[in-house]
Amino acid sequence: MEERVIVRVANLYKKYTSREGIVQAVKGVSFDVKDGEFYTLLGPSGCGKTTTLRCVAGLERIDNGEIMIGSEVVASNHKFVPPYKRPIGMVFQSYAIWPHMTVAQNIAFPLKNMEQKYSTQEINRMIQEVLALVQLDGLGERPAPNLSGGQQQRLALARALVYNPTVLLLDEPLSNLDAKLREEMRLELKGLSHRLGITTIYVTHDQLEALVLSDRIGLMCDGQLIEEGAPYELYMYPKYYFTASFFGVNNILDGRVTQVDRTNGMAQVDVGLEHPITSLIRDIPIEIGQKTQIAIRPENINLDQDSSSTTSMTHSKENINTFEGFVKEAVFLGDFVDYRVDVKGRLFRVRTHPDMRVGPGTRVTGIFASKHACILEQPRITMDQRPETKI
Amino acid sequence: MKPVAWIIEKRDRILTGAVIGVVGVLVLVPLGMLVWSSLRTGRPGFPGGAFSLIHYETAYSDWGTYLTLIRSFFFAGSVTVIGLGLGGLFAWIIERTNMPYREWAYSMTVSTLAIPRMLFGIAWVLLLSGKIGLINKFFQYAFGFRGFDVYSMGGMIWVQALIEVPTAFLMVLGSLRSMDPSLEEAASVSRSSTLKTMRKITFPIMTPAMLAAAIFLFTVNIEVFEIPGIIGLPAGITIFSTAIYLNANVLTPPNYGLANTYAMTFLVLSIVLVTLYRKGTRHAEQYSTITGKGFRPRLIDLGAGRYVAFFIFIVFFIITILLPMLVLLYGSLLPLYEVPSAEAFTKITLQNYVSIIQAPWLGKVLKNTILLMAVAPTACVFLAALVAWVVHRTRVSKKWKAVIDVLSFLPQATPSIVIALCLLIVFLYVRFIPIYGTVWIIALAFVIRYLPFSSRTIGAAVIQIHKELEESAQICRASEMKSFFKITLPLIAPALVNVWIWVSMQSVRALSAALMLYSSKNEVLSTRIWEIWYEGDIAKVSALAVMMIAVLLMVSLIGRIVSARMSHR
Repeated sequence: MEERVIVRVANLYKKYTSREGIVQAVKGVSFDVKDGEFYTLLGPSGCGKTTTLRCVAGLERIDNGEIMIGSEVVASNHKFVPPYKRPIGMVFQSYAIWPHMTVAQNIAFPLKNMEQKYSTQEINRMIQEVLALVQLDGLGERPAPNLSGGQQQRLALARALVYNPTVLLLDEPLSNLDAKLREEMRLELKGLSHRLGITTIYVTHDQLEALVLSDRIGLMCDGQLIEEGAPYELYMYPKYYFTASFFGVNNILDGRVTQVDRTNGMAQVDVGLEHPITSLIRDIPIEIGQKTQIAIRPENINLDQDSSSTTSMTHSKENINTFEGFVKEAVFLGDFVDYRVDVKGRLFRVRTHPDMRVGPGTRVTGIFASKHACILEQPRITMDQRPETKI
Repeated sequence: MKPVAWIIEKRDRILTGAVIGVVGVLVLVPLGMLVWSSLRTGRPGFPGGAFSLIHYETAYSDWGTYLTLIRSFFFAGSVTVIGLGLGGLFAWIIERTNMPYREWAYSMTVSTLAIPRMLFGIAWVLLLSGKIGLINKFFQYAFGFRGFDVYSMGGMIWVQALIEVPTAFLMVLGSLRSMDPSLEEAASVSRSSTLKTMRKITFPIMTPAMLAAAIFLFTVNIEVFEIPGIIGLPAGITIFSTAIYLNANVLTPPNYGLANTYAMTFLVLSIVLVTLYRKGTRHAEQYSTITGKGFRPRLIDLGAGRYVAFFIFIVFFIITILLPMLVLLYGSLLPLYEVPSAEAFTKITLQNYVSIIQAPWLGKVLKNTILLMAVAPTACVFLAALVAWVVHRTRVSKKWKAVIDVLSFLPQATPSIVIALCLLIVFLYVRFIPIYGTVWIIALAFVIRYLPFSSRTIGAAVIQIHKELEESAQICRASEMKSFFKITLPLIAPALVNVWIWVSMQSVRALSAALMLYSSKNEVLSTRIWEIWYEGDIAKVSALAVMMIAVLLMVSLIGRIVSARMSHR
């Protein structure tokens, strides 16, 4: 059954003038968010994700394209519905809690602006309910600035939810919290969004937040939506160089396709090592002789000290790739050991369970499955926009 | 589209247009009128007359004009040098040395700002005039010779310089405080003596800020009216501001042509100075020495000199607060002013206060003054808030924002007396708005004059309010305007109250505009004091002065309490 689309952003363009001149912040972004879905726009700072969200909210006027919420066009080349007439709730990065009001007054503000008029009792009941929902019971009369950071965050959420908006927009809501509180709120947010089943668009630069919270992630870079998908898919099987390098750490090798075996769904890619790498073909156009890149995650590579046995074992099976080299650096990081393995002058990142410990200088064999060798589509992103890889 | 929907859709533009229109009319029409009528013969408001440069010819073929110009420059220049010298010395002592009671010295120096200039001038005439000055009497009694007559260029400069000390002090203190102490410490570590550090490091770094302060003080003092009016006019020393007053108000029939020509010269001069100041301060920002570090630099040990320094502040307290207050109080308690003697003290009475309270003019004057104190700041704050909203919170194009910005700053470069003269001319022509000779025309002059200060201050407060606070209100179903009024305005309320009080206080104190625009119907307190002073009733003036200072202190106290209550942080 096709789920109903709640938010549709089509071919969105938005530029603004800054001191350096005109900046094209969003260049033709399109995506759909389905009913009850938690959709995250993820990307490095300045990629246009917040601008996109602000266009959905109506805080920015779009230059081109169309935005629909529910069945109504809220922004197009001819039409602009102001934010206060869109069925949305929003939590801002700074929380934007009004400091001259109490907690209850903050929440009552949108209720009093609704077209539908509520009685005082109704308003009070709704405030109590939503405060209980975000676990701020009994704090209604507190002046808003007297709340802690985490409580302000909950209040901002309560204020955005109290009038049952169709869509909830969250702009980096966790970025102002300290690490421990952020982890706590992340789980709570996930629980809340599941319970309420509200359609949500979430903006963040934090890949971990995106992976934990989202049903689907839209990865953005330089004003464009690079790739969309469920967290697991994006992480494990990236289609593009940017996706592969953005999430976690990846070994990315340049190479050329030497063989395509459609019956077994396998391709061979020569990356200048002793053996070509065997890779599972996914829905990516691929031809013999084509230049390509291959991404292998460090945690998907196993290390073996005894080189003779593994070579015999692996090369009997077609789907196992190997390389030989020596350990250049081994760093113990608690939950794993981080190796840099020198393979004919090229460095491979490998992560193993802390049980396996090999010192620098040791000769090792790296082994990985063909399904873990991802053939990437031709890079759409130039190299200088490669994001910093983080451990 | 329905008209209502159209208005809502275009509301930003309509409001912006209205704000530009109102500010433009307020600023440009009077100035335009000034230019126009300076180029015409004939009396303003009467038919006839033709375009001619005759006023300029008359003015600039007369040596008197050039003498007035030279006197104005000499006066403003001397006041700037002395004021900045004393203010700078005070700031350095309080900020950088180990003088005792620095806190007291600070509040004392700043509190002299509260005394209206005109009253300060009157007090100093009572202290230092050749004939009746108490100090001169004392000198004659003790040493057999008279000291110094305040009715002279030197006297004007002395009194005005004392008035400018706290302003200069605050400006220098600000830049001393924002200076990174590590710059000086680095010099000390490099084996530089304290004096050498000051000469080689502190002064050069302070130079741009000091220059900016000097230009600012010069701009203020070339347009100042009160002291040149109270001291200079009887002494026959005219400078630009008093020359305009004489030609437009005292002469019968008034010589508007000459007054306009002077005003034009004055205006051009002021615009040049204010432009220089803005350029200068922009330049100073490049030198910006502000760091977030909170620690104070090491205090310089003055040794025994610290008592000398403290003595200087005691003297300053005596001559700027104690003596003026005492002489006004003393004068107010005598039926007829006379030099103190055992006999004089037996005559002490509250009769002056009683006669003021019973005076037939009091009701009218108080009503006008209170109206002025209420209407001018309210209109000013309202207009300034609208300007701030359009400039900082709407989607209007940069070009239009720049237009509003320049328009709302232009009066900063227009001396009060020039604005008053402009309004005088405008409403001689524009008879269908019958505010000529009412308190409203005085209020209008103050609204225009203090719009730059108000819109800048309120604008700065608006910038402080995070934009997301307003945006979240829009998400919460409030329109743009409602968001501004429900969220931003309450949050900047303390700034609004402060600006309101400041403009209100200025409206009572500032003399020149009221003096240019008043008649028997729209007298206010300041013009009444001027009148009684020139009638020669010193005792009554003293009583009025004491009452005025008391009221001003009360208003500023109430204001401080209100704005502290409204502050949410």
